[in-house]
Amino acid sequence: MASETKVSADEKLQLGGEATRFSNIALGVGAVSLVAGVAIGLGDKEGLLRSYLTAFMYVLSITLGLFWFVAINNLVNAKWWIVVRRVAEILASQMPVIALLSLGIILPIALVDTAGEGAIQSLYAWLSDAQVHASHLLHHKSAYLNKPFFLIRVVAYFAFWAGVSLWYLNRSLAQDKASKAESELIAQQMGRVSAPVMIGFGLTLTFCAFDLLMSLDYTWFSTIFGVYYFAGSVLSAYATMVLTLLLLQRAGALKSYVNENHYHDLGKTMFAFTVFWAYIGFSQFMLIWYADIPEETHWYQWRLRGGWELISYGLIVLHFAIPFFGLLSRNVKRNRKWLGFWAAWLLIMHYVDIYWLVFPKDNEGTVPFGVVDVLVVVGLVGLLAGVAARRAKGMQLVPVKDARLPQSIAFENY
Amino acid sequence: MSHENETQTTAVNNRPYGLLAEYDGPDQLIAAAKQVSAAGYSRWDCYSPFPVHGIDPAMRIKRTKLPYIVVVAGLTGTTTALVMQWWTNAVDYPLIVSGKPFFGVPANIPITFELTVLFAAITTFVSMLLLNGLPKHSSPLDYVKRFDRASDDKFFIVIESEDPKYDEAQTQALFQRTHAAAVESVPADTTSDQVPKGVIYAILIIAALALVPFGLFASARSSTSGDLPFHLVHNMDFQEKYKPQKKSDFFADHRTSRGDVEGTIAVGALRHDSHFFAGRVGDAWALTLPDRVVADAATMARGQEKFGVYCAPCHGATGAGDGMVHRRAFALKEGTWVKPTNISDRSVAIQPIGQLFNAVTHGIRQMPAYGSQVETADRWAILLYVRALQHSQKQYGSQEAPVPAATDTAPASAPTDAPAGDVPGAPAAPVGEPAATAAPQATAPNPAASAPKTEGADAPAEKK
Repeated sequence: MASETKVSADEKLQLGGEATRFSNIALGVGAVSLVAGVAIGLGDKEGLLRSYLTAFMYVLSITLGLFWFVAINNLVNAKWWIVVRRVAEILASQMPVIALLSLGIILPIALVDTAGEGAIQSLYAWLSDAQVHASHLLHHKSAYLNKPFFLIRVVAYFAFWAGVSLWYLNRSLAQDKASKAESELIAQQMGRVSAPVMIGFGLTLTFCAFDLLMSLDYTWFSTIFGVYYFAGSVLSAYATMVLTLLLLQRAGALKSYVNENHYHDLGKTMFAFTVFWAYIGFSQFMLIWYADIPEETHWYQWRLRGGWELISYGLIVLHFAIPFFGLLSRNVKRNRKWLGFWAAWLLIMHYVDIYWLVFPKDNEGTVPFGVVDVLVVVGLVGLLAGVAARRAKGMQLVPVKDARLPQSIAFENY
Repeated sequence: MSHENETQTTAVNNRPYGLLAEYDGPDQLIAAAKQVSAAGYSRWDCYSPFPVHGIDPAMRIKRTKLPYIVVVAGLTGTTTALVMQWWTNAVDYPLIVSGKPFFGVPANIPITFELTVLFAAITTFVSMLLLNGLPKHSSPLDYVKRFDRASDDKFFIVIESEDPKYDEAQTQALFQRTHAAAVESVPADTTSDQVPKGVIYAILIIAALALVPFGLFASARSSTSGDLPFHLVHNMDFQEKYKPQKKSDFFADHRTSRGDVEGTIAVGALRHDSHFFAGRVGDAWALTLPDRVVADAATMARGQEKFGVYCAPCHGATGAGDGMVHRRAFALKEGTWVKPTNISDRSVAIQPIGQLFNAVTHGIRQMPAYGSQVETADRWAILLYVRALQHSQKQYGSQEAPVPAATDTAPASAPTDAPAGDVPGAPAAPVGEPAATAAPQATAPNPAASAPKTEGADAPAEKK
């Protein structure tokens, strides 16, 4: 109803010089940060790798969440999200960059000599032949946890994510130049492809979480672990969407396209995934706590002692309870400042969550958080933001030819 | 219900219910609603076959208070669940389960979550109905033929005559200005608002019938019956199988329970070594450990472990009779509770190790039998440890009496290890001073002499 009037005709839909400026700053800060972090951390190679893994799994989870955001909305033929679709597609198609960054994890694994002493001291003790020989349990798991198969899997994950996310973006950009009929055909095609993509996404994300995070301690296992990583991924992806849109609107783009109704929807899902994250986290904890089997409980015991308990309990309060009540109100979700505040809050807490997953192993009794961790994560986020801004420059930030766009602009939320 | 009556009331009260306007689409409805609310009416409503976006601001409807009601209900659910679980588990009926805490928060979270959602959901549903003035059993609009299409393809606004601004002519003019497709007066609902007598009777009869089961319950509870109870769910209660005490028609002696076939013994059931299995050597209680139990550090450690598991709960870690069960029973003032024996008491310490083994195996006084729970070798290990405890209590505790039989702690292979000379006068003391439980054999020999002897030099022991 009376929708077309909402959008101003001279709306800015492309980024120009400001994208270059932002990109230069972000790339500069990112590169300097990363180099400084590596330089400082080089004395403790294992610690540095851990910091890098944390930062990497953090940016990967955000990008995976955005990948899911694109796939699910295409799958269900959502109308409301068309105004924010292109931004999500550009951010999700950062996957090739992420794949490049993954070399920081994959190369040390690929280069490690599994027969040597170094293997057992590496992040993944299962790489060591001696360990496989010594541990009956690992011997049984070695059909899955071995270097060649691990490398094949990880390469397959990134190939899938990078290929699909680039495909989404390419089809979407093709819509801009297409005729009306072609544009609708492309939209249908994107929806159809999303169904098998969703299955592939579920499997790759789950096994990636198993491979890169859970196998840090090869004795421990939790079938819900992939879902836990997924919950944090989607949560942080929505937070990233909110912050990116706020940033873009501050730069003068999309101003009349994205309004509080769209923020409201992003906020609602952010709120829902705050609860979902806690629900999954508690589901994992309670079964292990109740069964009280030593081979499972040690994972939590590391996290409930020696300073780690502060982070564990802190996550319950700061990652769940406070944002839960913070995001409960409708007014907050429709208020850009408040929503931006909670998005930034949740992004920080998501980093703490990933840190909490990676670090307690081999760091019992101490929380070795330091400047290297900060520098590395700032480095990766900076590089990704810089590349994203550079790629976005010149692209239409809204799929103007999509037939569902008017509905998205007219979208009202209650 | 006479028909004349009805027509009369209509004549008296001919004020209509209100004025109805029909529109062809949601856009017209919204435009009209804006005009009606601008005109300052308060008692009016819109009717549409589906939810119309934007109708709320057009009607100037304030946002619902429902979320605030729901958040309060949700928090009430949270509190109810936590307090309920805490009260039942930790206050009203605390039950010890494997040493777990009475109130373990993680175990209570699922219930708390469920009750929060349940309270919030039910409150949402009920409050939504109440805030909307539902359920509504009838409306004067039900009698307007045109209005049937409100659930099909037409859109309506009705302004009630109760509205202070209502004026038949002016309101009609307003509707004309909103380009209504049709305007119609809605007659007031003049049907009786009395509940029909038949319905009242039916309710009374059903209420009376509903009391019948309670009457049956009450009569059943106050009388006895020779009938067997109804066995609705069988749960494999009746099976084609024999139980030990049942009659069997198959065997000549009609016993279901069959003994061993004569001249045979079950595998592993041979109890040939009476020293090891019964603590007897010849006709007397054994004074030493059986040959197959070696008195070394490993056996002692094993004995300590098993003592901690099976004995310490009552007898206490040092065997002083002050275990956790005793302390708990004492605190609860359990009338029939008897303090567990101090195993370092002279009455116990002077008993031959074989007799103590018998007590552990078959139980004594209040102490239950442990033969079925603790392996035979472990029972001997426990006794080795008991001897060590007795010895330690004698040396460092407040034992006033000597403990001559404690010499048994020395392994048979190393007889000289016996704590000879500990209490030189010891041998004499027990003689003629019967122990509380086993008077006949209380003659513990000289510590130095008794240890090496494995075969009983004692008086005949009390029968088991």
